[in-house]
Amino acid sequence: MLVHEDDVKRGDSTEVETDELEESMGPLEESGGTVSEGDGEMDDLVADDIARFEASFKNITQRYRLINRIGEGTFSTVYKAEDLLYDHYQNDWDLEANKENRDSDSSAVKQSLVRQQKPRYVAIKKIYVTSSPLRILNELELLHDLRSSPNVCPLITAFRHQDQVIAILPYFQHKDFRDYYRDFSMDEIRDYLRNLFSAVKSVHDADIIHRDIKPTNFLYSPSQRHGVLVDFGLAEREGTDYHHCQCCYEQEERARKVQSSVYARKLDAARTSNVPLPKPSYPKDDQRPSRRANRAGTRGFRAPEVLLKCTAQSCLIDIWSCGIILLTFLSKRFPFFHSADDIDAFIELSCIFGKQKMKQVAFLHGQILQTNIPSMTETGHSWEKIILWCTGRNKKSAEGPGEGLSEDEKEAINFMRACLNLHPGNRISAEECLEHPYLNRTESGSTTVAA
Amino acid sequence: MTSRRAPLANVPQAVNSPFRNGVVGSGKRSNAHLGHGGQGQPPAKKQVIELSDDDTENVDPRKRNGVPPTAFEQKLAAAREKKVAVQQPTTQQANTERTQKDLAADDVDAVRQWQRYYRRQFPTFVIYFDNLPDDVRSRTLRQILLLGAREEKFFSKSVTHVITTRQIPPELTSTSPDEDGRYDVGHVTHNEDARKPISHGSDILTRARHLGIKIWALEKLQRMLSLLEAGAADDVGVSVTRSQVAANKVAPKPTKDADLEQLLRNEKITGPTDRDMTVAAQDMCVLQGIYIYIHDMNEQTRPVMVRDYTKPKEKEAGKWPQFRLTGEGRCPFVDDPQMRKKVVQEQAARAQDELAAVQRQTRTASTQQVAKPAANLPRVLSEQQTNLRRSPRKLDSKPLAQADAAAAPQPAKPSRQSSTQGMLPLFGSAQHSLRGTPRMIGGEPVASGMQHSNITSAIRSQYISSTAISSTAPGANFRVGDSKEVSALKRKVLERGASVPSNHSMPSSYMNDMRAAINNDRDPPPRAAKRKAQETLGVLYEDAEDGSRASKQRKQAPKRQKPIERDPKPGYCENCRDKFDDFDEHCLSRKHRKFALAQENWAELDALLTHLKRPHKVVQ
Repeated sequence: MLVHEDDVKRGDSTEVETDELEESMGPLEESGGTVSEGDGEMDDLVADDIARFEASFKNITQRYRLINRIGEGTFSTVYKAEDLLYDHYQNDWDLEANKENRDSDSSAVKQSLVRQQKPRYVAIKKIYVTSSPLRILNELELLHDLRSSPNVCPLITAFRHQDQVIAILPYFQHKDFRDYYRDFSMDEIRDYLRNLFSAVKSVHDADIIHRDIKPTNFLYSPSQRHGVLVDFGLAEREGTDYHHCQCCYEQEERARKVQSSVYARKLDAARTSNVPLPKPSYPKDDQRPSRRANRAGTRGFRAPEVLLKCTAQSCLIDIWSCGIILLTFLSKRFPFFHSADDIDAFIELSCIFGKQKMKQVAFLHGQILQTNIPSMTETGHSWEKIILWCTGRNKKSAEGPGEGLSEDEKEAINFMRACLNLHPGNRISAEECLEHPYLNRTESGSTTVAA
Repeated sequence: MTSRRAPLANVPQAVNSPFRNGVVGSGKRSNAHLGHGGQGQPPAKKQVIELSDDDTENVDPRKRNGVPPTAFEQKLAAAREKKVAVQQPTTQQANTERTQKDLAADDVDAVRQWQRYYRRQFPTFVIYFDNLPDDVRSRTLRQILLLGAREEKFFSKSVTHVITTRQIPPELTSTSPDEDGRYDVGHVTHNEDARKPISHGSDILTRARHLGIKIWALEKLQRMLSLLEAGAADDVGVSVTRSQVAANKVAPKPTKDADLEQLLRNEKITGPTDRDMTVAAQDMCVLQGIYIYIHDMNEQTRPVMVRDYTKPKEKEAGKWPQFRLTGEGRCPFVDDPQMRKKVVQEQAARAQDELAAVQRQTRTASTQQVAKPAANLPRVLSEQQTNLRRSPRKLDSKPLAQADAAAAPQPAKPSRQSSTQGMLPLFGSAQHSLRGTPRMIGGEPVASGMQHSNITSAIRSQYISSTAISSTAPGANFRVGDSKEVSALKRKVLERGASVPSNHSMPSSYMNDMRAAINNDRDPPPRAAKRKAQETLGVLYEDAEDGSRASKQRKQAPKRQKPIERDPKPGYCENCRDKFDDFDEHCLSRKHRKFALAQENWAELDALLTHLKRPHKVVQ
């Protein structure tokens, strides 16, 4: 039984804020849902669930035979089902079948015979009835827009019965990330990332932010070296709810704003009057509005600007998440970040980047970071050091930075550094990623000519 | 720029702001005072004229006729007028807006010029402070001294400027009807309250007037000072308000200026500015322990992140995320019990070595040595426990800390640990991992005791953190595909192994205390996190049962799983805007059914669905 019940959490914020209410109403929850392969024996609970689903959705049994529940998320449950009426429809989405058609020399009759013997599978995504029609519309619309993207899971069709909406998606054979992330060779990692970034590029080309890129949402088949991006439940068009943020300014402009801020003046006043700055404090009963921004995504994969509630988030938040996936591969740790909440997530990032850089990133979004956490160093640690440490390769007498890493790894780390730039403005774009020498390289090691 | 100014002027509170009332009220009063009809123009307008008039005084005479130097003055006036002139005819506002736009280009330049001019001029100023509270006076004094001016303690002819909080007497030559506007409207009441009665002839202000000495209102000086202190003003409109805010922060006496609302807001945030800043205000939470505080640089919104951790004895015991000892595949921020086990075993092995060495010397000493590693036990556990407390809670876990202190007296740290102590956990743990499997010499009860404690902690840190808090946390024995039931069973297996021996390897009271501490979440978790917390607790409750009940449950467990018994799934319905405890129940509720069946709710979606129809195969 391979049902993974992701933790269903709504509005996990523990910050002293009031926007929790809105958050749990909005699309700000963790989404999850692992689609794992394999039929196996069905749990009673799952059987019951399927039976009830079949009973509640009119005529579904005529079209599909539900086989198992393969994923459960915040907004939906995914079932594996046999597509009973496959042969009645055009199936352009079915890349496997297309390949079969192309490869096969046999006659059309023979093919249809083969087809009849071979059951066709689809994935049925049951979107919970508690989701608003608008949210469902958004997801389906975005999927529809992205239908021609090779690494995005296409939408076959969708149905509604009363308040229940189901989306029919191709059933994609893949392996669980945990089964391979530690064993992948550098070339396999590269293949994975090429697939991932080509998916991300097509999403970004359509000005869509996926918002929830993580291994569970990228179904990858190592044997076919092919992967598809799924779950656009949190995706949004770039610029939705866009508001000006400090990070939109040019650097000098921003520096000036910081210098003339209330906080800077407080510091100045304290300095000129020679009074030590009091310990930071905040109002008990804070009447100020809280800073609001879309924070949808999965903990551990959220970009720093999401954690800091930047109101001008862009597609580059997805690049950060991809960088975290690469970090997972290189460090052989999954998940790399625990991030029970956004504060923990921020502290974890600070452990790596150091206080200085994190202060800068706070400034970037018009905020001041004050902390006295002793395990947080000023300058942080280099990625090289962290990768070595995570893979148990650091020696007491390391000769220099990056010593003990292969050339491949060094290049990968450079690429990762470009993805994990704290400043979204300096982060590499999906298009640039695909052109980066690290991804643009064949297995022999020579750089391919970009097609 | 104007676009950014506009919302400020349109702040709804501005209409009801005390400032506005002040203007209207005091304006009337001052008019009555002076016997004017007060019917001509609205007071607000007068103030505007007054201010711009007043400001021309500051302008370099050489440039008085040029546009650029006056641009800023006009700008200031315009900006203030915008605030004030809520009730002004719209044409008036339109005019100011136009002027603002026209002047925008010159603004920055004008400000710089103005700053340059006054930076040069200030050293020639001899200032006499009239009727200033001592604290304001000392603060303002510091500022003017920095700019090179000096203070004259006694009024004399050498004084060039009088700074006052009182009403400024009319200029002698002026017969303008706007003149009464020169009275600082905000301070009329002040004047009435003034202890010193105004007697013409002896009053300093009157004398200053006669001597041709400039008389400035305190707030005017403060405005200037803040503008001079500001570097190059980036955006005039904004910088005016900002610097005024700043000035107000410096000035303890609230000046009834255009930014009173902002001042009040700031005071709400940081407390009154004339208090002793080293003493926290009562309604403020002061971050006392190990904290992280990320807040808006202009204090306009609530802090984005605040968390105050209680100060641990050692930083490794801190509850905030930090690099931990972990094996491959594990999250480096979550304590890895297996890794810890290794370390502890290593310690135990060393203790054995020591023990053996000591035993060779004397028999009596050996018993003491046995006790020593055993004393380490609570320390390891209490560190383990810190992991549990990482679950998000609104307030710091004081009850937990207290339980800690009571239940786990910190033993003296063994000196042999010191090699890793001073170092970052990052490197300390890496060293541990490089040492490999520890040597085991003889299965002594001491070592086994350690192991038991670690199994217990394994259940805690692993299952609490990975099932309830982090579903994605890896475990060697816990795969992503495992269902709840499977993991529950696994946990029970571990539990059986752990809880029984642990009862005699350590005082049960300690375990109880710890359990109590874990479950004693006095503060209700935030609503949104509640569900997650319940899951966490759900895991813990079982664990926290005393032995007899737990064993009963173990027998019942397999049977209980047979019947199809769905756990009620709590959640939130976006359509009904309701929270619910049971998903299925909610979906059948009348409200939800009504929504489900209302066609109009689905029109838009249905339109898309028709587009998504699966194309039929073309029949050949």
